[in-house]
Amino acid sequence: MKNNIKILYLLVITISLLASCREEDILDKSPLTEISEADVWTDPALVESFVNARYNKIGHGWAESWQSSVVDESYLTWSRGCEPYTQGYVSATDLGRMNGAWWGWDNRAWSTVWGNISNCNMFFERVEGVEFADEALKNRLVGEMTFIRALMYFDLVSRWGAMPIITDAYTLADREEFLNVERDTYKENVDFIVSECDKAAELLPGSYSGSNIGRATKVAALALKSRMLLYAASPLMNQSGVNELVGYPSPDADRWQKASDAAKACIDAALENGYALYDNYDDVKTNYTQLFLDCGNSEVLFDRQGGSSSDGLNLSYLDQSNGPNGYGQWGGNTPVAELVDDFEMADGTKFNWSNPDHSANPYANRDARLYAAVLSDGDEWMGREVETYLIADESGTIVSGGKDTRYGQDNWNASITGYNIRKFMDETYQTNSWNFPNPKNWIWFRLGEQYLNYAEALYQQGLESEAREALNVIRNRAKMPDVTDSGDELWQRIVNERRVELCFEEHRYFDVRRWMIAEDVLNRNATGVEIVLNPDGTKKYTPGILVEQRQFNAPAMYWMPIPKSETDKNPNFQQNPNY
Amino acid sequence: MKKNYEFGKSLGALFRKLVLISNLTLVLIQLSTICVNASVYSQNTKLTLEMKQASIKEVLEKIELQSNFRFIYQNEKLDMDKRVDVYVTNQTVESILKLLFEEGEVEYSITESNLILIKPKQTKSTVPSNQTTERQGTIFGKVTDEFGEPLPGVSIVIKGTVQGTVTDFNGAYSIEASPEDVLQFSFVGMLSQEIPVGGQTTIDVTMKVDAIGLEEVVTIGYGTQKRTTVTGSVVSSKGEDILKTPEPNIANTLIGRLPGLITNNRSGEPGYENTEILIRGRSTLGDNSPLIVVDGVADRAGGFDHIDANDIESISVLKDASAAIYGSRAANGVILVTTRRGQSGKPTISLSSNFGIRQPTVIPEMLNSADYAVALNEIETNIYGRSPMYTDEQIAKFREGSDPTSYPNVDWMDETLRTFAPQTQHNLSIRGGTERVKYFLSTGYQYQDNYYKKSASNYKQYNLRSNIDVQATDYLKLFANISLRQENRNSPHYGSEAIWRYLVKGDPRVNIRWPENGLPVLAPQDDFNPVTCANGEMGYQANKRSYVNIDLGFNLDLASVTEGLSLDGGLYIDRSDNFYKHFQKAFFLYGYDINTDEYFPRQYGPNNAALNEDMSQNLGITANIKLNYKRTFNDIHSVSAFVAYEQYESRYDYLYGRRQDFVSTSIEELFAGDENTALNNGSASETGRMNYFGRFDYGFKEKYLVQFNWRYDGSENFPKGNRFGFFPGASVGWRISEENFWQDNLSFIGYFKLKGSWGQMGNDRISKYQYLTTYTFGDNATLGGSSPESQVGITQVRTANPNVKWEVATTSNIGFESRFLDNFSFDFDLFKTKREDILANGASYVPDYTGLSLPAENIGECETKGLEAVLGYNKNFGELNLAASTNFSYAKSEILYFDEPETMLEWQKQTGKSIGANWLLYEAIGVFSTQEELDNTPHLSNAQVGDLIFRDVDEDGTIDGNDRIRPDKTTTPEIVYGLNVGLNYKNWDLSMLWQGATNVWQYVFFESGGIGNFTQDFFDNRWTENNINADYPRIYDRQVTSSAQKNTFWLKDASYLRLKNIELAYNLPSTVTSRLPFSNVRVFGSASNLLTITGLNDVDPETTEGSQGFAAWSTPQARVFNFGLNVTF
Repeated sequence: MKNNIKILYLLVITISLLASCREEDILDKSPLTEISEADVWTDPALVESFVNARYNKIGHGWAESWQSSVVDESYLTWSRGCEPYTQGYVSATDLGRMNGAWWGWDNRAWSTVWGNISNCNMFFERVEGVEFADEALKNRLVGEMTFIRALMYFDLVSRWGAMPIITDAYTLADREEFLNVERDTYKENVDFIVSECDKAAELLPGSYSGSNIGRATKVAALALKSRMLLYAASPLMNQSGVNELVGYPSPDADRWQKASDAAKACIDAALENGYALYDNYDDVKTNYTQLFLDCGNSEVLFDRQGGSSSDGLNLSYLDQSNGPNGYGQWGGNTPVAELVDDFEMADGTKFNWSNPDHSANPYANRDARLYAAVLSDGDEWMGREVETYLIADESGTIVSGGKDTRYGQDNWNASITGYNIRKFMDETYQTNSWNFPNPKNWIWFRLGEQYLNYAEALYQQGLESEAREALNVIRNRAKMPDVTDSGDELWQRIVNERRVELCFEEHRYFDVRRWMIAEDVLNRNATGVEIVLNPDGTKKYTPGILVEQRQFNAPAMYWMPIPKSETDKNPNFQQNPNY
Repeated sequence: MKKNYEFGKSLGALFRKLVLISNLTLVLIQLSTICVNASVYSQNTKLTLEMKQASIKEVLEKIELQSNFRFIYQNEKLDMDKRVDVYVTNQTVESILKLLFEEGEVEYSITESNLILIKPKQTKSTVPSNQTTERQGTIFGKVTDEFGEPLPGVSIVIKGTVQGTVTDFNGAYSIEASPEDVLQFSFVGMLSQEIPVGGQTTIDVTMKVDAIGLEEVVTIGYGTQKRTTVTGSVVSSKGEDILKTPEPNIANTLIGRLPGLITNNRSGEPGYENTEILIRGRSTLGDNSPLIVVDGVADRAGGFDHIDANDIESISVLKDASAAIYGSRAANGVILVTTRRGQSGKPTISLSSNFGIRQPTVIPEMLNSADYAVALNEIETNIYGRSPMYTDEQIAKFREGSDPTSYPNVDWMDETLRTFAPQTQHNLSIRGGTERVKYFLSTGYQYQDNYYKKSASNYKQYNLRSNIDVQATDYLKLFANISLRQENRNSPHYGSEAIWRYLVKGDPRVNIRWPENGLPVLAPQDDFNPVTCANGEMGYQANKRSYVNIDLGFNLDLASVTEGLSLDGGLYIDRSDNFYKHFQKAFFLYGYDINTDEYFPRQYGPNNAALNEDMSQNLGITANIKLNYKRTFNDIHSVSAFVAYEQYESRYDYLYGRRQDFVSTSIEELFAGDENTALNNGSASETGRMNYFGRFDYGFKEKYLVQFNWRYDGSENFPKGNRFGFFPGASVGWRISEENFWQDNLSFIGYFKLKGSWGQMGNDRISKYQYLTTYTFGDNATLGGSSPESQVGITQVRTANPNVKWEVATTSNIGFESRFLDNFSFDFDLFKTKREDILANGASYVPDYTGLSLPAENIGECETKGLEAVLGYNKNFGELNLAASTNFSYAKSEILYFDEPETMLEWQKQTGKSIGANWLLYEAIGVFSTQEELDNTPHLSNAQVGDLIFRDVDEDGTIDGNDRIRPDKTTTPEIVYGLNVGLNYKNWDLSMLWQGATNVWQYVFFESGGIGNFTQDFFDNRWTENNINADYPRIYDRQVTSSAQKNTFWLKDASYLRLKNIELAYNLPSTVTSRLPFSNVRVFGSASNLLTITGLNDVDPETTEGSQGFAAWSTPQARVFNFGLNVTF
């Protein structure tokens, strides 16, 4: 009996322990690292943080493969998804590099850009209900998000053509709705982006100070508007009878005036608000080098900012991946000869390989912007001269080569074009340290571009002297002689000025398309130069060395195909023509 | 638990053998050894019993509890369940026994160790009349086990009669027999033997363990069950079998032993074996890993991979509805690990030491520098149309090797790897106990080094286990288990993938060390030289994980409430700590300046070192309580049932810190870094589970068997309302061989059981809180212009799916088990499992333009079907014992529904394909041999003669992304098979495990070209203008050339058959050990992965492609040669 009593005690204890376990205690857990919907949309500080996150995702151009490597600016030494464009086999199931770079995240993929738009929509849907003590802050945040959404739409429209204009934030319950979305027209897209830019410009300040530098400004909104209208006025979008997804139903020359007005408005607003062309160094090469390394300088209208690697904020390891192999760098995106040759002589004349003076010493007396953009043989770089020459013996047989050739270190990273990139590169970077101590910002909009937009739009309206004037603002800064040409020759100078001034800045891909010259220029093979050092110490330069056989399939490749995975899910989402 | 013989208390020697025989743990717990002179003890010990309507068995058990007497009896020949009333006061054991049995029914003998053998009294009348009565006389003999230890209780019967005897405690017996008679020796868990008497008067017999083990007791969820009454699909393996594979990772020892279990050992890196375990293949699109239960607790800290094999009693795998007792976590099957426990008897001290050497199973054969130079020339000329890189003279110089500075030929593998890397495993255990307290204590150490010379990569483990059982009172048992394990993993600054990547692509034209002075060469590859990485010069990563499992539990006998009732329960604490440290420092590589003829250093890595550390901690507490009822009525109806409640709560905390710019690299702690570079971070999470479950078992004469399992499971992963799920499992069995008609007609099949099961189980392995829309910090903005800084961002984690619920698996299994022709066994299972409401995010139907951050939704449906068969054979040929068993498993999955858009290209859909068929590849159908063929065939725009021909799947005249197909092929074998052979001769034993897999594929494409070396195999067989009928395409440059696009040519059949394990052991004869202070000494040599037969070149068939899709980036699997010694005191 005594045992039974003990057993009873034990039972009572266990059962009471059991009874003390309640579902709420055990199963009602909540995420300890996450913030609830209700908390976010009642607290202005969190709403501001929500806006901040969009800046992180607006994208930049410094993935491992640069956009310049799918056009006639550079060649990527190692294969990274550029081939579908350079070799002409892009398809709806293989969008290659232009749908966001394969390696080294650039946040430009279709899904990321749409994610940004959706986040903006989420913001607009909820922000009205948030009480702000500071109404100005609210307006600013709305303005920032308006700009960012417009920028994202622009990014999509410039690559793919018209998009469905989605301003609602979907949930899973909206399946019927989102699976039946159709694309709006190109015109509606342009109108939407332009009106959003206007709205943003109203709400945003002209500039910021301190830690807010880098947020969208009124000037940034006007810069976006200017570029959008320039693109919209261009030949590709103004053909007769074109599919309305990728152009206007009929050409209209008035669009050039809208473009020039927008460029002018932007330039004016910029100057009013203290922006100016960067002109801090007398030496053009230094000036143009620093333009891209001097963060937050006066020329920058909008940029994606990046800090140092020790903060984990650096955007890229471009310094490691693009320098010459002889320095232990990877010789990634290497300028092609087609670009290098388009840099004029310092006197404003064309460079020409058949000119014996030019070909004997091809890198002398050139437009100084070349030296800030491209590392050529003999350029001073990181404490020594770049050596991209091969060494021949008496018989002329190549037996060896300089440090930055396939005879040097990491030979598979040797530039095949004979050139390496200089623009954006930080000479103080210590090879292989993976320590990128200097901040570096990817510039989306700078004032220099606006002058070129302006010049182009004016020219297209027949206002040649005004066009020359705008063009020469840029040339003067580069200490290049004024352009005095007119007619088609003037047009060619404008085209070439954009090519050299804005090289590697993600303009060429769009420019050659909207001008409809891609089928000419992008069907050229990529070539390089072979430099041979003879036993007598002379160097012989041979242009036209084949680097890549290139192919551009017109008209399909004027636009990117919509990813097939999207049109599969929603067959109402129209594919672009020719895919 | 029912045995032919049931044992009472006995001595250590006996029990050690029994442990070897099978999983008798629970029987053994009742045993102890106190040696008192029997005659004195039996006369002096007075017992008092007061029992009403108790079975004889229960009376004997009561006596065992009160005294040191232990009983051995032949259950089936005695009516042990006969009910008796016993009221005795201060009686001797003999007088009680007299009361219990009818006069003349039994005879019994009491040994000096108080072991009481009870056997039916033999009567002459049982001798068949045709038996010649000419008796030669008495045969004497001794029965021992393989280790020479005497075996008490062995039944010896004259064949064809019921006349027989039982061995006494010393294994001795005597029996009257004539020369024509044949003696049958039988014993639980051992192979029966028949020995003709002939002219012998002394017949000594050595009994061998019966590997087929019908008598085995297997662990099932929350209990054990006799193998013959198991109705679910359960397989098990014993600790000592696992020990035969010299491999510290338990997961790697199981394949081929346990049918239905599929494992792939993906890497040979110590501590990072990355072994994938699947039970019956894949059946869901998400997490397919089975639930691991260690000593009754699910998902324990530390899992089971690195449990010391010496601590393992058994491993069981629940493959069908038998797993339903684990409800929501059981859908992928359950692996139950049971650790060893104490036993009564004098302490047994065992020492096990293993010394091994390991080397890669396969190393890719790459080109020498001359051939590589040829290949590079071909890349320039054939791919790019450029001029060749090398002249013939230069290539000749590479080939001659006369100028190693300018024209080296370096084998990177040779430079970095040593021939053998050491590994050791040691374990010391003590096992014993008294009647009241039993203990098993074990401690172990393991060390495994990596293949590198001066390896900075290794694995060290220290473990300790203490399992203690206490009979606190005669109705309350307590147990306390403590297990501690420290796992230290060291690796260099870069992980193994980086090192192997660079080794494989290593450029033979480049020196690793300067031949003149041995200095490491200036970064022959990117920023490091594999030699200086593998040896830790660049810095290191150290990962220390410690795991603590503590169990406290009780078992309360409630027989006083009603017979057969008991209550048990426990509190189980699981704590894991993870400390990770990554110290990166500057190091020097040396270049050579030809102009100055000087070697110059160049610094790599961060200027003044960088250190990050993180720590995480998880504490989980499981508590359960279980009410059991187990009783057999009239020896016919056996009923066993329980209901239980269990809850689990855990919390995880994480802390991170980093600094760089160290004052000196000699101080490797955070404080020494620059404060201004300090970064820190932290996070936490919690989980909770609550469940109710139970089982009901009914058996009619162990012939008709029914079992029902259920679990009502609640998980915090789901919203209120969807939180709880009910998961039932039912199974039935029919031992047809017990039926008269079977015994009359099919007596050669001595055992045949049909079984079938059906059940539903859940899977909740998804991220938590899918039902909530939440936001988290992240995606910070960088703002500030000239001095940008980070500004906090927050982003939506996901859009909510308020309807998220359990993934449900419905599993059915039918099968049979059989034993026939005495020596054979054949088991067969056929199964089907259908997984519904599979949790996946809706990326298959939600377009990206919605911008939704997708939660998991219940949208998939898959089915897996298959079968398993095991054929066993076990026989003695004189002193030679052969035990062989071969098993075969087949599992094929199919995605039935995946919410894929209808317009998706049919040949790219996942629906209809196997789970894991993830490759989207061009279909290679040959090699272009002429320009004309190329011109007339659709091809990728960059294709040339010598490239692979891709099939124009959509027949639109062009090859593009649409022509890629999704082959129904995966890296998980659909078929795995094993052959286990054990040979035993006198003191020698040999065991072998062959294991194979087929219907398995690997993508084998090397990262070759300008960036890295080619395999000899590719080079020798590639297309060239002089070899236009080649098997392989022309030269490629990483992904350049159309043949280098992902295509089926590189998808290779990875079937293999390998000698997974072989062991040869010798037991020192007792004549030797008796002169030593040891009771047993066993020496053995073993090897794993000794031999592999596969069609794959250059990679191990169990590997997978690297993170960027290239072959041979993971550390090759190990081949181990091991020497070991087991000593028992």
